[in-house]
Amino acid sequence: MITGRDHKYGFGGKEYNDELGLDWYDVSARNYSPDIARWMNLDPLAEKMRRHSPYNFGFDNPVFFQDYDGMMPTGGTDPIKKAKAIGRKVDAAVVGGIDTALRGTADAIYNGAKALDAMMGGYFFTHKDGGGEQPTVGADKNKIDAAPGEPALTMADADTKKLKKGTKVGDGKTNGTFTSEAAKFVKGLVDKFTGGAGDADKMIKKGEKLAQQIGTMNAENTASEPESTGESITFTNVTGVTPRLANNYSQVRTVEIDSTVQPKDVSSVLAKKAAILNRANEQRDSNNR
Amino acid sequence: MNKEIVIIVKMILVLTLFSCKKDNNKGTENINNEIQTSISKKVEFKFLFNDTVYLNKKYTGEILYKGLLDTISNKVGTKGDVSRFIEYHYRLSNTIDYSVNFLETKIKLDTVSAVSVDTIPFYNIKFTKLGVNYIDGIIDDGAYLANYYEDGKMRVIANRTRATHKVIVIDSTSIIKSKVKESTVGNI
Repeated sequence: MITGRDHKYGFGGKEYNDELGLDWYDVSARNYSPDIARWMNLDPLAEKMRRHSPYNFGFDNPVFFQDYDGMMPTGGTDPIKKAKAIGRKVDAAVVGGIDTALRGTADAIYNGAKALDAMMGGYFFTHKDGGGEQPTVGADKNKIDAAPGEPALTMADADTKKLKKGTKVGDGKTNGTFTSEAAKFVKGLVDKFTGGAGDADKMIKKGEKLAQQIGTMNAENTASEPESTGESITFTNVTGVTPRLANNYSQVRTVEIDSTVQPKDVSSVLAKKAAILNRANEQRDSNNR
Repeated sequence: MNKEIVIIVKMILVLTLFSCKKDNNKGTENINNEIQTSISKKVEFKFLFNDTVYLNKKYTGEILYKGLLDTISNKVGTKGDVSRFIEYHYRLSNTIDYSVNFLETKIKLDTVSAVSVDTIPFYNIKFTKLGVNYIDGIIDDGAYLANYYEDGKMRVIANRTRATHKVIVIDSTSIIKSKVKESTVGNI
């Protein structure tokens, strides 16, 4: 334990560095010279903020901005607001995706049921009670006969739900209605699935609250970014796939190539390779001296 | 009766629509630099090079490499009909936003050779731009089997692996100090 005043540790336990006449404090990610009240290191990512001095700290607004690792100030927006925005995006993407998928499924079921219904002679989609009678079809097969004094209605009208629930189509003999058991069934399914999506929505909102509490959803914070040296990277020999590398994430593969060299080229190929190897050996030897 | 049949058919349709998802990641490696592990332990390498370097200063480094062809030859160079050469073709860049095909065919790369099957040294690495930079290249591990075919042709088995190392380039302390002094004098 360090006691008394005869030591080099100042404010925040940071070490005072007087070697070589530097006279500055080693403040972890950067050095601070109290003589001129300046940081002595450039922000390594200073190129990303050209409107500011590369020696500033937190854009001269340390209350609002943080700089955990000396790379560049972060936290330009309220982290809670940022977390909310991210949460909303996730929410929209996930719930929207589920909703679209379910509606697509419901449509497919509806269309399938309709096709089956057509094969079975229009059981559900034309008769409320399921009488087995064929609907009256006019000269045009796609048109349903209209009631006297009303314009002719088409199946397309029925499909696009332009008709109100229970609207009668036809001439009264067929007693056909748009609403059917199948449509009710599909609607029920959609309601159930949409309810599920609502639950997912609630879960996402819970996650969003948690993120607010943590307050670390700052994509620009590089404090936890790993060093790219790594311990060891292992690959598989998948042939012919393009590796993709990105910050903090990489897909690297080894590509195996089996080729043939013509007899007349063998010596030149090997000589070329040997020359590069010799140069490497010479360079190593001269470096070791 | 008909209603029941239709409902059963509908249920089958629903189950069919929610079928199994194809595994698109089969045969690929998703490597997170934080974890640095993989399912199959085959080719491995590690850069021994600084993460932070000074601008315009020359550095030396090396890659520790473990390849798949050690069973053919565990020494670089030629021995009888079997030769093994490991080379690293690389470039220094402040971006790696391009494909490995671009790296192999479209741009000029420097070449260094491994001095042993597990060490690829490289010298005089100098960065001229501040900020994030990369040593980006391809490790070309080749086994050359002369007279492998009856007609005198040589068989070449090559394993090519993209190897990238990220560095942060900063100004040297003397430059920083002089810049600060200049700015201070200017302000006074």
